[in-house]
Amino acid sequence: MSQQGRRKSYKRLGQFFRLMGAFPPPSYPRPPRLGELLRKKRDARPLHEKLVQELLALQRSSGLSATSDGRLLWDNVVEGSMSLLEGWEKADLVRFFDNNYFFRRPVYSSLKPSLRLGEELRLNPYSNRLLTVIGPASLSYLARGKLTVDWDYARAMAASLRPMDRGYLVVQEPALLEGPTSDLLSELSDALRSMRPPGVKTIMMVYFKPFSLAYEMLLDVAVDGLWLDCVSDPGWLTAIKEKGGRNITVLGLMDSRNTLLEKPSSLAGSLVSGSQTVAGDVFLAPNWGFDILPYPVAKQKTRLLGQALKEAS
Amino acid sequence: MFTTSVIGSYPKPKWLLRTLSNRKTSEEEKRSALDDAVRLVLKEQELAGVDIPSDGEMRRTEMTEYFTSRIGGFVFKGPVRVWGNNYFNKAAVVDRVTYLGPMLVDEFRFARASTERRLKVPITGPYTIADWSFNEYYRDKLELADDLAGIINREMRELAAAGADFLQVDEPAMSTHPEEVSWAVDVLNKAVAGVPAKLAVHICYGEYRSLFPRVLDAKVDQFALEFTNRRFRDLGLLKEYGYQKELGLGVIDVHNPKVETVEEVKEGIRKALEVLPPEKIYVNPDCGLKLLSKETALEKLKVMVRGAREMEREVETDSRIRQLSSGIP
Repeated sequence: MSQQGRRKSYKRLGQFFRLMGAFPPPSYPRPPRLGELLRKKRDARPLHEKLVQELLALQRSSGLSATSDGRLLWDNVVEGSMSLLEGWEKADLVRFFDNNYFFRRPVYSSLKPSLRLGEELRLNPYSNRLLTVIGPASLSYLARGKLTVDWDYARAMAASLRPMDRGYLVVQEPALLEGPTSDLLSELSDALRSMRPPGVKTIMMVYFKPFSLAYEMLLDVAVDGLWLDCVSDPGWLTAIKEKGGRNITVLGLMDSRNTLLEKPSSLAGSLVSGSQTVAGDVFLAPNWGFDILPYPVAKQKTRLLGQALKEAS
Repeated sequence: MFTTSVIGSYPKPKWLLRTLSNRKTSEEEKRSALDDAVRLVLKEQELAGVDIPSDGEMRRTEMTEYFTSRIGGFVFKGPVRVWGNNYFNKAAVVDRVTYLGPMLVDEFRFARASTERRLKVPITGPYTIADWSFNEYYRDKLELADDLAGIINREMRELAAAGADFLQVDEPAMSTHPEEVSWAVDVLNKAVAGVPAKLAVHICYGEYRSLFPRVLDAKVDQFALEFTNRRFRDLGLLKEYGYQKELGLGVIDVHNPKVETVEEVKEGIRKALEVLPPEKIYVNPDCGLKLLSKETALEKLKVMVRGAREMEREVETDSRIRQLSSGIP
């Protein structure tokens, strides 16, 4: 067999063993009835547990490849991630990038880990569970206005994440798209490596801004996969085609900021086309959390992910 | 010397919320309760000494929801969280937007008849309505915002014809997409074109620097901005760009229940005096007061007005001292 022929058959073999799947969003909107209990400072645990089980059942029955508890008790990914740590306070109200959605800026001088995650993981016992935290560069940007790696946060978070022994850790790094340098990415690699719990796959998630022209830079970050917002920047698909992907490529093809329901066939087409261009596993997903969708729409979109995956398969 | 005003919203009395949510309340009873609430919040603002109050947006559910429920082409998709446990009912545009009739004119006429003071009427701007709605119909946000600008312009003209002489376009979303500021200002200018009234624009909770200097092309008399939440650092930005319009100076943090001290208010005004003369400074809270308790809102307004009045005396004394000093050979 010629070298070219061998390459073709390896490629076919690679396609055969490659996994094509769909991920749920890392976070879901907090249903108003849960919000009402929290606002009135009443015991929200029973309702929260019931809602989490509903979400997990929905994701599993839709055939998704991972399970997310939706982080329904988190006010947002910044304060939510910080809730896994000790030694910080809430300051002024700040807009989360370009959304009508806000977080309280965390202020701290020295962060310490907590044991809270262990209890939180109890609700999602599945081996393919997906958990998210804000990344050390984006935290630095959002809390202090500086795009650097916050090692204090990375170290404390690494200890707090220890109870996580399997599944996917999605590290959200939207601030990277504000203009990273190769030095920053190299330092971020070290930080993410240190945060990764053993047995867990780390995926770096970037969103909201077009940045596909610098895709190659992100390929150097030491993570198992990249989660890309292909709604804000369809150029990511071209970039993946040209430069290849990581072990895991998550295509954020579903718009998590609009109620318009995508056609499953259209999502399926893009997923198949994306999966043919990279060697690793490829997943269909929303481009961000479902935080700012109405809860019923978030559930509809979850089912739609499953339908699209079925069509693609 | 310093005109005191508000941005717009005021906490709704608990009895009003109870009345409105009670299924047994008739439409007539609801209207009567809303009228009473408007009279009450106008009196509270008068009691605090505010020169230009608003009707507290008592009849408005939420700043975009109120308008999307009165403009053709929108349907509601359900509650969406903004922060903490605060939600708004977010609409999706599913057809071309159309003007269905006056939205604020009756509200203004009632408030006008309920106070002797000058009134400010806030109206949500086209860019913010477009940005805070789901888009299931238009090709893009610009096309939607442009159509909405025509609708808001018509409403503002109706308000001016009814006697409203101080209109504030609320565009908080503008600060979130600096890359769109160029056309967002065009859309705003279309909304205010030919409206015979004093015009302000309110922008909050974003990075103002990213909007400058293009935002200064807005054809309004006043920018009402949030300063307390950002420790007054953006006053430097105004100085840098030689800002000359009137300034709505936010001296009250509306997301913090802690009531400011009079000295803190005065310090904010002092900083603004480094940029603009007193007659161009309108002393406001940072934003609408609706998320505070009624008691805290009233207390904050009282402190705001006291700070403004004390600063007036300080400025007058300073100016007299300067006059006397200049007379000494």
